[in-house]
Amino acid sequence: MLERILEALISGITQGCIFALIALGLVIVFRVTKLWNVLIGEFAMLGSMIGATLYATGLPMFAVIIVPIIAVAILGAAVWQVVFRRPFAKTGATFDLVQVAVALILVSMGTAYLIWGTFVKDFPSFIDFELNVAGISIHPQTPWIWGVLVLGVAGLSYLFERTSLGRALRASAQQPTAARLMGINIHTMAFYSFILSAAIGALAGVVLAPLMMAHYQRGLYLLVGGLLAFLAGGPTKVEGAIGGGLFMGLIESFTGAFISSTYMTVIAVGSFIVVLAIRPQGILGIREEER
Amino acid sequence: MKQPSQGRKQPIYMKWIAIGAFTIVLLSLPHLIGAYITSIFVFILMYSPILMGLALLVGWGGQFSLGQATFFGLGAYISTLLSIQFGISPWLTLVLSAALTGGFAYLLGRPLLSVPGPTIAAVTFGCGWVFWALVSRLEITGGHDGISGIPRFSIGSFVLNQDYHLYYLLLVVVCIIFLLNKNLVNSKLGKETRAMDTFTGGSILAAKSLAVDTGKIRTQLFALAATYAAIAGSIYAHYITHIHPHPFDPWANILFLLLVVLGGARSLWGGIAGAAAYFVILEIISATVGRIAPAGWQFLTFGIVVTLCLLFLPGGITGSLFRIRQWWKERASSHMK
Repeated sequence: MLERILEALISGITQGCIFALIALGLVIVFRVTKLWNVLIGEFAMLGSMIGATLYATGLPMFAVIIVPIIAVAILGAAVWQVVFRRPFAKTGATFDLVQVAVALILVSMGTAYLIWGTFVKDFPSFIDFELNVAGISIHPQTPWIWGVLVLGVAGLSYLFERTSLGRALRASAQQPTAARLMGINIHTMAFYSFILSAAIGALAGVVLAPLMMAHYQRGLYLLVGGLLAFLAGGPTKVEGAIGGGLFMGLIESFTGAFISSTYMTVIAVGSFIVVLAIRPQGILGIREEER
Repeated sequence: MKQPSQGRKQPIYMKWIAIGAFTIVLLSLPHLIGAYITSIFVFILMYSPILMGLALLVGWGGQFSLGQATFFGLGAYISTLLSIQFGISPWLTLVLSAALTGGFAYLLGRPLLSVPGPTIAAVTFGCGWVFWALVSRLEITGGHDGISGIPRFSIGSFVLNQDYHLYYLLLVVVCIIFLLNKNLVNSKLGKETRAMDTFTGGSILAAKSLAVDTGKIRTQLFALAATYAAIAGSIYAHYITHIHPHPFDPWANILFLLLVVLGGARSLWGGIAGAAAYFVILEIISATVGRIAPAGWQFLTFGIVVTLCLLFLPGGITGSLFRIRQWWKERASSHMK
């Protein structure tokens, strides 16, 4: 019994870390631009796909990890400059821009389908070894996923709270007009946040690929989990992303372990709706009025 | 310049002649075109209610949902199960599935549509995922193979088993929904939606200050959209007589939103234009590049078309047609002087 609880706990935290990473990428863009970067799931998918392709060509492991992140960050920069920069400068964050991002999901899925086909691609664990804790075997990728989340959160907190770039990023989110008067270019800040979010998405994709494999539709699944975590936690908070991710992951794994594996997603989404019905702004969020 | 427009001094009966001619063309259409094109028209008319409902939420409610394919599927599965398990007439299951789906959507939307931001889009997308996963796994829905042998619609002993039967049925349904939407937009509810619409000079704050319950209005539009989709789903199930989870998967949820945007959410014709555009583009794809990897080409084409439309053609197809008409009228009236 204890073993089963521990097992569910570990897999739940791992799943939660994945959702939290995606939610983190959403939070960064939302904090700076008030936009929902729904492309983040696609960035993760492209990261894992590029990584799997590089692995198949026999490159060393660190290149398989680093190159996709850089490539996707560059792609993210290009997407912002070509598609989002002008409308965002004109109207700010609107539903139309979120819908553009939704349309771009299809562009990315279609491209991935045509390049890589519909097959699941293998991706090795970063380091292959047997990991046993108290009689439970743990996937060797688990420590990496936990570590990346911790490092990511630490790095982002440092960036947002301690550096002048972070202050500029926060300022352009909170008081765009005042930030502009202080000489902060809020469009450049939006651009930076989008690149950062793309890189985090790719990082998430690469780190979780050994666990979930690379597939052209994986981005949608990650997006759903990440979005729900992002909303459950409260869209403006880094802590919210982590809390929301872990909440979703743990509920899913515990219902999977103890109630029924068929209904685990149903119960996870259901409990999410209950949370939002009670606290519409998210668990840690702050209520904002709509204008 | 403030003269009554001289360019369109058409007598009133011209309008009725135009409507009459249009009706005659629509009614005789299945006998003029081949069987294949008739079946395409049936699908256009079947998808129109789904998109017309969503257009109300997007264009008038100022929110968007990614769950329209789910409600389409919910309608199809509820109607199928009721008619197969309990032997209820398809006409009755059509009504029942529409009512059940609409009620479910109301309960789902009520807490979520008062929240700023597109929360409802994320939640409906999540629900769509769950629905798709459940339907593909449960025994009662037949898993991936789905359910076959669904009874057809019948009036007495007359069974609606031809494409053109369904064409006429759907024509009636689409006309009723169109008139319903037209009245709705001009009703109190429609005026309240305009108070919260930035496009017409309102805002959420302004609407709230006029004691308009914005969340409730959006929920009503959302539930109505779900009801339309369920009606379409039920008709789909009893027309194809075989359903499986594939047409209701998450990509269809995204597709329906994009089709509404493409057709033009601010027009009553937007849903029909979106459905027509979908099948025209689908035919073009399958006639050209779609022999290999059709799904991939579909994703790519619709993604690019809708992105370009959102960036360069605000208002979609109907919005652009409207602007062309305005431009034409202005040109005509300036010629007259």
